[in-house]
Amino acid sequence: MSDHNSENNKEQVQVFDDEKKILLDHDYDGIRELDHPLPKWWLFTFYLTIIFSVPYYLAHTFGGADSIQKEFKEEVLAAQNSQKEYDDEKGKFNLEEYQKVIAGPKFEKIAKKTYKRKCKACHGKDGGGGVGPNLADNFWLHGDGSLETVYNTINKGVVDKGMAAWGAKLGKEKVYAVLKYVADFKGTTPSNPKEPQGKEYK
Amino acid sequence: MNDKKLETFSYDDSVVKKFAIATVLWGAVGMLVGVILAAQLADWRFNFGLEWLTFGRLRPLHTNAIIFAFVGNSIFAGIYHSTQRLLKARMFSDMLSNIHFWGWQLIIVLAALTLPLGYTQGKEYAELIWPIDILITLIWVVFAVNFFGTLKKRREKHIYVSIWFYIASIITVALLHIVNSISLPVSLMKSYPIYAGVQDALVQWWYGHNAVAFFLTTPVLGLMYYYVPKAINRPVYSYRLSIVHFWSLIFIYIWAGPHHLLYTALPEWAQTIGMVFSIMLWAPSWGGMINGLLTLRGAWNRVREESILKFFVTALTFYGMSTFEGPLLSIKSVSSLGHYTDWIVGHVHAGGIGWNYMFAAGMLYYMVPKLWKTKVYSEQIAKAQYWTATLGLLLYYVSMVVAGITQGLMWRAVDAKGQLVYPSFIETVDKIVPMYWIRLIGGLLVLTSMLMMIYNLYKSIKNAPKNVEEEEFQAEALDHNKYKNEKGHRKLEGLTATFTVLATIAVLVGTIIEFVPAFLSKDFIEVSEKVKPYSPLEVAGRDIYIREGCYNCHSQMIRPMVSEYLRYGKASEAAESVYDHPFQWGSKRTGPDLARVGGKYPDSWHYFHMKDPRKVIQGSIMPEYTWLFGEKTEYQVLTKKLKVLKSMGVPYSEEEIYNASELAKEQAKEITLNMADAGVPMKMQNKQIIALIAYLQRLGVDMKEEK
Repeated sequence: MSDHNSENNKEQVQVFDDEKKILLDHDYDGIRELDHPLPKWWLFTFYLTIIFSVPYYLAHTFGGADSIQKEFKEEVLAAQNSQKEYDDEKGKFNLEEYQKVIAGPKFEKIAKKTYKRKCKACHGKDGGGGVGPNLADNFWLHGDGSLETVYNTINKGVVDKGMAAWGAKLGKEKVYAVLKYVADFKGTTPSNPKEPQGKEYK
Repeated sequence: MNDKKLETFSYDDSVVKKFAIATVLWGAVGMLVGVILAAQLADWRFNFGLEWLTFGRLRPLHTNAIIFAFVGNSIFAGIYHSTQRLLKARMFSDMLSNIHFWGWQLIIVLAALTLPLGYTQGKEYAELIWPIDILITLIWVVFAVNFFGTLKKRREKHIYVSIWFYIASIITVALLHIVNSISLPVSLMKSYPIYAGVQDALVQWWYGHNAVAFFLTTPVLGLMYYYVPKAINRPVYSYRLSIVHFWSLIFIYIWAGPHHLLYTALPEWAQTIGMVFSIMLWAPSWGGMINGLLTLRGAWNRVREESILKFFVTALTFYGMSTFEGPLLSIKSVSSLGHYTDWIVGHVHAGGIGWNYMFAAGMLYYMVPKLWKTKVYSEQIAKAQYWTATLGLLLYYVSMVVAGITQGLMWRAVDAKGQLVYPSFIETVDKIVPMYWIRLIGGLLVLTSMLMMIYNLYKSIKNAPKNVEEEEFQAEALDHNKYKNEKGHRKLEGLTATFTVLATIAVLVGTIIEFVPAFLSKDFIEVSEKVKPYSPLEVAGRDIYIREGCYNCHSQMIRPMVSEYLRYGKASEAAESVYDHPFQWGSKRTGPDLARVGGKYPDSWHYFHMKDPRKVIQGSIMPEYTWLFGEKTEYQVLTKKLKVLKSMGVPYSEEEIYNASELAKEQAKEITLNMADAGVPMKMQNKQIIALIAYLQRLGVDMKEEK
């Protein structure tokens, strides 16, 4: 530290015997530096990342390795095929399955809960409508109000109008349950009914 | 030696003291804001129904306060303290030091006022409006002149590794800030960035990533090289390692920005650059950790006893952990899971709390007793602070990683029917709300530890002797001729101007190679005839979207992944944001992506949802935006806005510009009329909610159809 009165020259820097050979003559405000070689494992890691990165970059940018877009197209195709298969086999309304669900012990609870969570916001707590149409009158926008057409509307949705495709989200059991719940609105008098929309079916 | 003439000088420690005090005060403020935000995610009502405290407006205040106010003041304190001693010279100008200090505090106060009021640029960590951006530039120049002036009058021929890091940081931060902030003003409080869409995204994340690199990392590494060997009185482990990791770190760091944009509409070659440079960054980052930790050889037993060393060792360990996790998260497949989730939030807090706060605490406990010629008031409190902070950090980090991975897995789950397993976004939010509570506890503990330090330092300073005179030191004047025969890096350490130029070149290489194609290549400005500029009302709505900070919770970027395709629709394309000044791709999905929300729901859905989200989505954690139903849309300014946008290349006709206000009013009337069925009264037509709905309904519709 020679000529510079460092504030902490009371305490000398501690240097071990085996370090004396590699102690450099650098001195910055009392800070000394050793000249240890680069740790081998560290250098090896650095080289490894470079050895990985360069070919990876070349392969992905110029070498035709799978690109994000290519993988994406394949994944979408696979999903669409599964969807199609499922739709053809199991997607349609089936009266037997429907009756089985509505005869089930938990039906009422499921129906009520699902309606409350998913439908109430737009169709009102008693089906009177709001953002969405009235479900208690005889007027229907999509189909004739039969179980099958209402099922299709719930299952596939009317996405343009804000009605989601609930089939995929809820599963068949809940769709059947909520279908029955909606069908039961017919003939009731909601507290705040929305004006009729669509065509009347008696 | 005795015949040399000695010069007498002293250090300006008064500015260091000021920065040290500012560090802890702003640190507490920044953390308090963080705790409020954490509470809001656990329960939205913690915004107390005040627009100024809603998440979207407050989160930028938290990030800016922690980065620029807390860490900023701490690095200035450390740089002013260590630079003078390492160069054996008083700062170039006490007056510039003071302008720097007070100017910086003014910037922070202005930020704290404007951000909650909704004055924002809408770019992450660069939210401050243009007049403040100019002030930042001026103050940074003052800092640079002061710093390089001190270099010039140094009495130490060679510059130590700390100084290398300071040089690289000062130059690069200036470059980042200026390039990213260029915008054209509409008014004193509002401007549009000159970049749009993909270009804006690339510039923004070049900035955003390197704000972490050159503001939160490299200056602090410089401080580490001073305070760690000082605190343990041991020589630095390896000079050679310092050289290699310094140059490799600054050279590689600047390239890594695009790892924030993996799976976006950024051209894939640029994404791959971001990924591979992040991986190559791993070892250079660890060089700093190794040099710090191995310097502790023979002193590890003291870590048990001394709080300062506890803070330093923990800081270095979390630095090592974060700089391993960073490259890991930059691997495309890992990013596809972690991006937009709370994992990233956990990652940055491991850095922010683990590295920056822990380091600042160690540094202050070292520095304050020396500056004020006193002793730390209570070693016991310092220890308690350390354990409180560590426990808080662990709770924070673990809860966020669990939340992030859980949600990431739920988003991507697709079943054998080719359908999403969790199609309702809200299900994936419900699942992680408990983790938000645990994070809140973690955050509270960290804030508490900060308050303990404030108390401890306050008491230490209070016990200090009054009116201590400035100490005087002596050293020889610098004689450059003495060092003529040096070679290699040692020689460079004596040539500060050359060193600065080389460091500048090191950060410019990556910058130029990434930017030149972005500004020349068609990939980046792909124009589709289908994509039309926003209508005047949509522009007004977009500015409300930016003002409310919607991008803090909602992305606008559907990634090319099958789960995103099923959930949100067709993957986003570069052409779709070509008129977006600024881009709003976002970086976090606390709520769902909005890139194709246009037309997904009826207008009235948005109307009722913005008023009371829980009426429409049970369990939603979104704030209520009630003031949008009271405040009027500003129509008069739209002509000016369109003019500014047109000057940047958005193709508006003269007629549209001239009639902007009338066109907007017409569209607003139409939308309101559409909602009459749902019970929305016509008197709402001039309210801001209508403009926002216009914007939301426009998102993603131009290119919605399959090709």
